[in-house]
Amino acid sequence: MQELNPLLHSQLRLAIMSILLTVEEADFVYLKEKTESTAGNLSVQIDKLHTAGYISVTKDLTAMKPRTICRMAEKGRDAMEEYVNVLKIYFNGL
Amino acid sequence: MEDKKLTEKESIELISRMIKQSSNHLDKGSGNIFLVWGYVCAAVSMLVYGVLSFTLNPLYSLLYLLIPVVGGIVQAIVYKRTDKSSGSVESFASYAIGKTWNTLSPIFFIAMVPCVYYMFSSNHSIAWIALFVLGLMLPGIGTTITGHVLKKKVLIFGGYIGIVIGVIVLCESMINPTFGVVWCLIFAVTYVFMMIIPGHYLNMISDKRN
Repeated sequence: MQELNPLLHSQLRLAIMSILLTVEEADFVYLKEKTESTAGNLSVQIDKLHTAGYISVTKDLTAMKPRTICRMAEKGRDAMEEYVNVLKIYFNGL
Repeated sequence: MEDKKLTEKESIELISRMIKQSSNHLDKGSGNIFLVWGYVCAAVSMLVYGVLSFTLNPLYSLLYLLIPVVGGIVQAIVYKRTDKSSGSVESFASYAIGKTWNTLSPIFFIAMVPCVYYMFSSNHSIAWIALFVLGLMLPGIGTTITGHVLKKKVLIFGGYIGIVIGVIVLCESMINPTFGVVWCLIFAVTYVFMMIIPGHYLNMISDKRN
């Protein structure tokens, strides 16, 4: 049986990817609120997803405050699709 | 939430929970933009109605040009006071709504230029009627599209009221091209249904969700 993508098979990274799957973009504060994670941990996991090419990360200034914006990349969308397909196979086999 | 491994069941639950949370998102104060322009348009229209009724001097209808000035200032103040401490997200719905209003708003302000020109150079009433029709139909279309994207009947219905009243103004102006003072009153009431009620409704549901 095909293995689940280890990069996505972690609670926080999967939560980030699931949120970004449904929206155009989300900022760091929004992701922190929705995932109820610490800023340090979230930052590390965003960096891992970014390094893998699953998400794009940009920084801008809104109302003189720096803002980190995350967007799903095509590679990330494909990875999520594959992840869900593997889950489907797993549940169909039960 | 931590960086822990999940079971397959937990994965599915997490994906569906996160998708549900973010797809239901509506920013707090989503209706503020409707309220700003709704109240400004209704208040200025009532002011014009009052002044025209007392003075019978059609030049006072120029007070309508206060709308973009006052609306712009109030919108800037409201934007500055908006709480930016909570996170922001752009959903497909907010992206589509933003693009709709970003298309419709400049059309109105660009159309103001020839209307104001004709107002001063030729027939005063016809130019006002053109602005009236645009001022009812363009926001009406915007509110209706917003309502369809958010699946909110209050907005769809409110937008249609604006469009229908706009068509009525157009037909009436063809029958009788004099600018009647009563249209100022109708304009104000239409904005109550087209923008003020939808604005309060959007704020009510965004407050509940947040």
